[in-house]
Amino acid sequence: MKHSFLYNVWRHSRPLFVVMALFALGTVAANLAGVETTPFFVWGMYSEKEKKPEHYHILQTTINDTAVLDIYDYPAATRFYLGSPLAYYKRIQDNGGVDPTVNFLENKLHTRIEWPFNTGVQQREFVNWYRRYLARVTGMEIKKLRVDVVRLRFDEQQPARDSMYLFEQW
Amino acid sequence: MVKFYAAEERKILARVVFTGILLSLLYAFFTDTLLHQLEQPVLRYPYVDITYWLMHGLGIPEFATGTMAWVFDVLLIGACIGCWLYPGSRILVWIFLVLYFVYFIGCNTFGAHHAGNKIGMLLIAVPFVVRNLASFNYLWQGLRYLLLFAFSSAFLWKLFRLSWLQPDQGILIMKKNWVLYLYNNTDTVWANVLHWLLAHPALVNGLFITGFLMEGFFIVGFFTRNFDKVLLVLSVLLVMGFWVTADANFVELLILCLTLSPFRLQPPVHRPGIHPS
Repeated sequence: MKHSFLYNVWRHSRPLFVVMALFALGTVAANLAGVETTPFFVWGMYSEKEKKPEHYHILQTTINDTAVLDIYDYPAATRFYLGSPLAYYKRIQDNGGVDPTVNFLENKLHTRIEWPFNTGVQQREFVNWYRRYLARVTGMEIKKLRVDVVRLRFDEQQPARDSMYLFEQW
Repeated sequence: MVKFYAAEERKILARVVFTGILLSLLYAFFTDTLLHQLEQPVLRYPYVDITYWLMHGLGIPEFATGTMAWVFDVLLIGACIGCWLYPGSRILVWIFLVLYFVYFIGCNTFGAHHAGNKIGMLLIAVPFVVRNLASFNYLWQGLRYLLLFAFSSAFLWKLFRLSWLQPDQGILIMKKNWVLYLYNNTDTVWANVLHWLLAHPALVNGLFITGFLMEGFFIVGFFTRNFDKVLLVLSVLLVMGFWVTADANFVELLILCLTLSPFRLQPPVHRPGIHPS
């Protein structure tokens, strides 16, 4: 005990000990609860059991009826913004225009909390933002956008298209 | 033996740290992902993180990505350069920390995902805000424990959720995360590597279990520093593994590995006011 790290911090400085102990406690508590509250981070990625899906669904963006966007033409950081917000927008639309976090909290707390989640305003403005960011990244003038959902299955090691349907076009 | 850094070593360490952060910010600039390059995003993802709620309540992420976002980015990069130029200036580190925190929240909330890759960049600057050298050293060692906790708890999450017993866990993670790439790229060198890996599910599932055990090995670090060099190598291998199996970029997290590094100008000594643990 006398050789422990926190004991030495305690001997060195009480305020520093309090800060570090609170941070450690907050981090452990966040992990036990499974609820991340920045800066108490939870490191549970890829720990959920994966279930074999019947199909994989991807979003395919077509610009001006001609150019199919391959987000892998861009670095990982750019891909994040090309893919993740669009996927979340689709989750909201699939949920009847309600941010899934609103439902999540409603189930947990039995009360409906809509702020600070994405309501009509953010959803209506999303396409304008997506158009602006795509224009910046691709260098193209975006006149028309079409987003399709492609349903895929794995044939051996290569995904093959089963079907495709229009998600939205602007 | 605890690595206690002298004042001169602390300055050099600060330069190393802020060089890493500056490179990360330059990468963001060249990939159109600094806040002013996000084109005033609208969709946000506070999820159930109260800190994000608070930040949105104050309108800070919206302000930082608004019409004056370029000013924010100039200040952020300027503060980082300032910390590099004046490694002893605590006020500059405080300014940098506040700005980087806003940047961190902005990136994650408008990216619609609370990514962990920038956590290392956010926390590595914290020890430089204190004046006292011993306090700096304890905070630096605290970051080492945080890194150990990150990997150890990742191991425990998998252990208690029993995902390590799930058949084909590795191959299913790989398929889910690389399906889009493989659909669009059928015959690249990397696609062929992935095809080969997918054709050998036992190997990929074995890699997942190996990674799981490697994460578990970080628990040893709580009891001894004798394996820090091994843990350093494991950190790099794990980050490479995250990329290969899950297309996840955790390179920036590796900056925390500086706390495992044998960085030293002088032989270790006991310094007044510092109690080795």
